Amino acid sequence: MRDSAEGATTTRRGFLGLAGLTAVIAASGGLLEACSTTVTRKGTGKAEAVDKLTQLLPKHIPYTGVTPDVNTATAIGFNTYPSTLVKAVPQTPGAGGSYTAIIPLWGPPPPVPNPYYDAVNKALGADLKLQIIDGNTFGDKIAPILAAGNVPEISAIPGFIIQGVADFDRSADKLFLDLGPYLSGDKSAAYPMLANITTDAWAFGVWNGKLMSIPHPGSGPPRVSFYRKDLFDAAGVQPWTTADELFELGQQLTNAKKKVWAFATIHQEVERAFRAPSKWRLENGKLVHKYETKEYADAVAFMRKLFDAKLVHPKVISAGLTNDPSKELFEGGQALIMDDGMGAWHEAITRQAAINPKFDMEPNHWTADGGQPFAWYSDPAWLFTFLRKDLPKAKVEEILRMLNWLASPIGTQEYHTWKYGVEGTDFTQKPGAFPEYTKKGLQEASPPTYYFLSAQIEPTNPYTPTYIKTFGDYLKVWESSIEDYPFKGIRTQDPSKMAAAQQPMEDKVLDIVKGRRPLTDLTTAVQEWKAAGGEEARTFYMKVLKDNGRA
Amino acid sequence: MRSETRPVSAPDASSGAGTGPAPPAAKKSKKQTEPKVPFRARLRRDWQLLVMTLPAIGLLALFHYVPTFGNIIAFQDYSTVDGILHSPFVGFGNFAYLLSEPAFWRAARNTVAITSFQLVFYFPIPIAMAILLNSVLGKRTRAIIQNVAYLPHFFSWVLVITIFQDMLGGAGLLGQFFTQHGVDGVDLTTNPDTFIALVTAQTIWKDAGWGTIIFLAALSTINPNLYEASAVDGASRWRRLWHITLPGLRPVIILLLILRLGDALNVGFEQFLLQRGAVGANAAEVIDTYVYWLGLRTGDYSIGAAASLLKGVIGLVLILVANRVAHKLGEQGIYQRT
Repeated sequence: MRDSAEGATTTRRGFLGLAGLTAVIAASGGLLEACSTTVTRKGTGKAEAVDKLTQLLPKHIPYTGVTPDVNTATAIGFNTYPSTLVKAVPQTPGAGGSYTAIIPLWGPPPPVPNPYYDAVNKALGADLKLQIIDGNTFGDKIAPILAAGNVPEISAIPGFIIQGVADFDRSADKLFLDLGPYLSGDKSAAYPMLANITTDAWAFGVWNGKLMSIPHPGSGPPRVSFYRKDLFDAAGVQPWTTADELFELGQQLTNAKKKVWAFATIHQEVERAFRAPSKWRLENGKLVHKYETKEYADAVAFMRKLFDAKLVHPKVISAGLTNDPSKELFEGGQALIMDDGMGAWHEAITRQAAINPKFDMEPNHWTADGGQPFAWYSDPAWLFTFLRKDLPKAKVEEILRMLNWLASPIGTQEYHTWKYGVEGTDFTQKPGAFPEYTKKGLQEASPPTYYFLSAQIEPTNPYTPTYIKTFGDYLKVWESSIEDYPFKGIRTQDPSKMAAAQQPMEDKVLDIVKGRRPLTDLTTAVQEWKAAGGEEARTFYMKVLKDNGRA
Repeated sequence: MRSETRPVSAPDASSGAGTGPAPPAAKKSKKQTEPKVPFRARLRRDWQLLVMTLPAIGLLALFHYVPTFGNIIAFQDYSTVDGILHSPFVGFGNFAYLLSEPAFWRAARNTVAITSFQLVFYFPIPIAMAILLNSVLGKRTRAIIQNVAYLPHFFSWVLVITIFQDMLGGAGLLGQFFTQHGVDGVDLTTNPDTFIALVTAQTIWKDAGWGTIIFLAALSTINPNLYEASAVDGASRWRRLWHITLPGLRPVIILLLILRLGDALNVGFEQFLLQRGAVGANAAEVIDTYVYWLGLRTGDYSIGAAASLLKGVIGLVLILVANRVAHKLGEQGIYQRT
């Protein structure tokens, strides 16, 4: 149950779900799935691009106080826990103020009051109250809060939720503070931990041409194929490298009589492996949507093949919107291959440690043809922290100092305090080892509450002896093979007509994959999608490219 | 003493449930005793009672009638930022859009199909169950059966659907049984063609027991002397059912039928949302899930409000028509005609 929220799932609209229309996205270890498709919202589309914003964005000043063993653009981690912790923020950030922050949380919230919160508040030198909203219903809750203008001093809102909030940009203008006067350009130097955030991520914090929020960096593979390493080893089989191998492997592994099927949810990875773009692709100066590509059609045909051969777990077929059973089936050994967010990995290992010590899983990068690796792009920031508009300057600065404190990376005393709480109460630590939560700590400190205000990549811990290396190797492949995404660094929001067109399209594709419609219907479905909003979206996105000098 | 002169209608209504329509003589005498008291006198007489209703009226007004005005957004291009006061009016534009959408009609078709199917295959079941239960003489046995039958009503839909999938799904009990015997791929939960029977079965399992309560109460008001007398006269069990039990239940059955009609377009939400993936939108999309997808998930609240308003108006019309028909046939309907 450690870090349940990091790997926790939340439903969002936008992914075609084999598990129903489930769009399950694992906000995992800061490595949040990218918006390969977006949630819908009312109104026209919006875009903000990094290229034009150099004046506005805070200057990136990398923090050099700690040197992690793993330190790539998307991952940071230590093989052993640092024995001496650096003090990154010399002064107590707070000035005794009292503030409330809205944060999402996937999983049960800590009981209050608790010594963990007290310890963090003491270190902050202020009273920071957390108003926790269940991540699964965050969108339903935040919309009325925004509509009523009833926001607390601090609001941390996931990007995929913002996609679903009608007229968010206008609400933001009305309710939230322009942080430009505090952070733009060289001013970021006053908050060194916030200055550690990359420029790409900062660009995503811009709305209406103003720096409205502190972005939470979280780039990583949108989706990863996992297999049960322990059961693969027991069966004496190797991971696959091509689609044909995957199909054969599926037939070999599926044994309905023993209640074992090869596949849980896997469609997104199949789409990627067939080299369909995550969303749009620029071909000879023209934008082509994923749905329109031959690669996507091939992926759909392959998925249909898996279903026709009855290699997919029946519960995945009957799953609906809010109940994707893939994690349970995979961890319980009823399905051996699935795709999920990166964070699902350490989450499952932590969860299974007490239940099934032999449990082991690993990611496998593959392509349908077995050729060069091919990966999907993901946005450089996934969650955004806003401040209320009417706050006086002194309070804004106090809050920014607190957020700066919370943004201290692993290896610092500050991180150690908000991550683990009070030694003896919330965690115990053997020399040289990573701290381990106590039973109380699992309730209080382990649910990642302050994490959502921490604006940093969630570090990688050695969950298994080979975890960090395998993780790092996978990320290297991912980073080196990211698709040529036309909107890199541009935060886009779909026009409402495209958003409305998406659900019917996904319904139809689901019907095709699950065998309720013939494969040939895909062409018609794409035509209907184009007419219902796809063409309009293309026009909108072409304009975005032109406006940014990319087409 | 004053209150005795007030027209009393409640006891009439309840006794009507037991003995059929009240005899006309009673009605006449009531009309005759109704005095012509001026409004101010009545106010002076009843003011304590009126004061007592104020909290309830306040609650109704605050949480029911005031929010009803929110339906205005169905005629606007509503934006949460501008609010009701500043959002532009678009007349019937939202309704026109809805009626031009094939997806809306598909949802409406599914809703009507499911509601008609359930009217035939679900509605009579609690009545039959109540009659059966009423004939169980052992008090303990009856209590146990009742408890078992009521229990599923308190389960959430998530649980009910999970149970059904674990029993009837491909990896469930039935599917596994067939797999063990060499028949692959039996899965009753993912067939769009039989979905309507599946959801009705789920509804019966979940709510039929609960639905018996009201019929059991009605049954208990039937005078047992009638049974004894007819038994003495040599009436068989069936004749007693036909000539005593069912007529005794008739007003309640008709009342519930009318209310059901008013609710005809509400077939449930979670049950369909949860199973949408299993059978696809063509079978599982109902008006409520359509409103959810189009109105809530896309933030297009106006369209959602329009669809709901349309649904509400149709429900109201159905209730009024059904009630009028009931009155024409000499039944009480949902209120007594004076």
